[in-house]
Amino acid sequence: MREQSVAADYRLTHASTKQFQMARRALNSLQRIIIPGESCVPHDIDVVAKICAHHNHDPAALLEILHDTQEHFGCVSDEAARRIAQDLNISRADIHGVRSFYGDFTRDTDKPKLKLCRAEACQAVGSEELARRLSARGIASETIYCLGNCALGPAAMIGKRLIGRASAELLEAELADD
Amino acid sequence: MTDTPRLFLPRDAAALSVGADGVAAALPQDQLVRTGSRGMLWLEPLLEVDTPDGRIGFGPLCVTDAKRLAETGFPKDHATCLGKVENLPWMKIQRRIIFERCGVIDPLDLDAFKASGGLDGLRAALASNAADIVETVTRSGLRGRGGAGFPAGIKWKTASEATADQKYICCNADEGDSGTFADRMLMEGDPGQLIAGMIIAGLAVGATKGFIYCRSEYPHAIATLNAAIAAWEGRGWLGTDILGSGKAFELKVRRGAGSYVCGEESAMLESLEGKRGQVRVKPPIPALSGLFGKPTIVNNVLTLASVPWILAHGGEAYAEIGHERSRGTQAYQLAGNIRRGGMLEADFGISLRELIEDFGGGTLSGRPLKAVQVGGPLGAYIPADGLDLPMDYEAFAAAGAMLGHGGIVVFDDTVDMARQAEFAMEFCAEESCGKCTPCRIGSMRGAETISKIRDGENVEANLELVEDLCTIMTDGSLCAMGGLTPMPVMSALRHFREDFTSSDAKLRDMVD
Repeated sequence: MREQSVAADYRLTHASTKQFQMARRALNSLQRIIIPGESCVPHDIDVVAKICAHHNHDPAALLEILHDTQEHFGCVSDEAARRIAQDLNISRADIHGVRSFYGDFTRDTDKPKLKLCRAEACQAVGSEELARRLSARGIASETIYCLGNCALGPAAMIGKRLIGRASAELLEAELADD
Repeated sequence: MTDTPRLFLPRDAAALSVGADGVAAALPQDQLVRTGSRGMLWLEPLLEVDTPDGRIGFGPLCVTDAKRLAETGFPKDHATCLGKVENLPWMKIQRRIIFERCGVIDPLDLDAFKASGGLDGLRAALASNAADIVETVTRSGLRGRGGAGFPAGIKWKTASEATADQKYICCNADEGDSGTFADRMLMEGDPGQLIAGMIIAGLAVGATKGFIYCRSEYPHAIATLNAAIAAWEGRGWLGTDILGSGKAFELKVRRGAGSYVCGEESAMLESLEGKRGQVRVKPPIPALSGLFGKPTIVNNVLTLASVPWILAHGGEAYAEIGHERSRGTQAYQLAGNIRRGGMLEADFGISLRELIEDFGGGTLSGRPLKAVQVGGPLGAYIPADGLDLPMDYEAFAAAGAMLGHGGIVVFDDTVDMARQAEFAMEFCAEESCGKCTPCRIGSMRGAETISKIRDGENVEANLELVEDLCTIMTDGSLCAMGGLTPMPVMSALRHFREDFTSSDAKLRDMVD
């Protein structure tokens, strides 16, 4: 799936405008049969346009636009990046540069649900051991440096829910509830 | 006690992280007020019950206890009863200037904010002129709370004297240092204090636009700030005609995106412009050429939040508080392996030992304390026998450490300091913006070399190499990221050399 979408994307990148539009239409029609969460290309690009408009097409608001896009689709796909570049009148290279610089943005929907703090204050109360236990249970986590819950570590976050005094059992239960 | 006393329960993210919402659901909703946190995080969820004698605390609460307490009318003989909150030793020592209302009022209740004198500083500033505001702040001796401790008055004066069609006030709320959470607590517990401080800064330098750059790891703070700004605008306290004065100030919250280096002021400005968070070469300083090339004040949350009190009580009153050249109060955050972790605001000059032993109660694990890291990932490790250090910018600098943002992370004797030094380099490699070579490459080589030392490979020669590398990073980096990474590394090496040299690589291999 991932390979296919990369190939599709490559074709999109290198196609002429007319071919590009045809390809995009074809991909858009595929949208309904794509399994959600598996790959984020293609998706409803009109949402991206609305996000850009909501931020007045202001290039200074690029991080906000990328955040909204990431939140909506679970990624900032190349297709979304292309639309943002077009609407903000900045280059795709700029978007790619910003997207790849910041840990919050991903090109694909491969971000684990669970964020685990691995910074010093949480290390002092066993975050490394917790990370080992989680991976032993097959639970993927994204490494975060500080969630601001340093007196009640180890700290973790699922979505926007902050969890203090985390243990592998607690996090497993929380993920099951989510 | 009346039959239906008002109940106060924090909605602070730390309290939520240990079940405050569950406790809230078990309490009578019509009596409940959700507040910020008092900072006694080991007692969270901490319920306060209003009585004629003051607020009585119950904590830490679980849902069962909360239900039982609500049914029995909050009896003072319950096991979780702490007595009067104001009388707890942790609270009594404090002098709360910034956190005066935090944990006391609903952070979005503007009437409670106003009734507790929240607008006094702003009103005083509106009645004054720009030069006098700058002068008051200068006289107060207020220094930047972000870590560098630069005098706020000088920064403000520079920006106020610059001529430009637009100036900006940027609040640095990218509190990325591990062990720090005071900014978050204030933004969630009393956002009005920060907003008022930013408007005053705007009046002082002639800026009509402001941004709060808040890290994305703080969704609760972002939500509270946005709600507070909307409420302030709705009341005419913020916008085109602040409190009917005809003065204007526009304020927006911008989210960071998971980059530590964006806490560096010039990287933050780049990020606010929608770019990669790469640091800028200074000069020009932001006060002359900052956001979009315009004169910009960049101050930390706690710096700006100290300003309303200064304006309301005068610069001299603030200057009377503190220690040596560090004036006013500091938010100390006790974190890591500590029995009683949390935030307390007190005068500068209190010793590290008092904070950790008297307030913190020692380590959480009960094992002996081995090291303390003060000032975040770029701060020095201080050994157990070095705790008699007064909390003061100069005293810390003299001891080869830094106060930073006031975060104190405690480690017990199970910590391997060579590993911590390696982590400091790894962290720098991970978070470096990549603009300058000593930081980008140096951190990578540093991590590799310390890894070799931990494996017992050419230990003495490699230690020398690390020291050399640290000197280059300190002297040659563009900003504090690469420039201060050697601080945890070298302090670990200086105080805990045995952790580096007593290589038990084979044993470690077995453990790993």
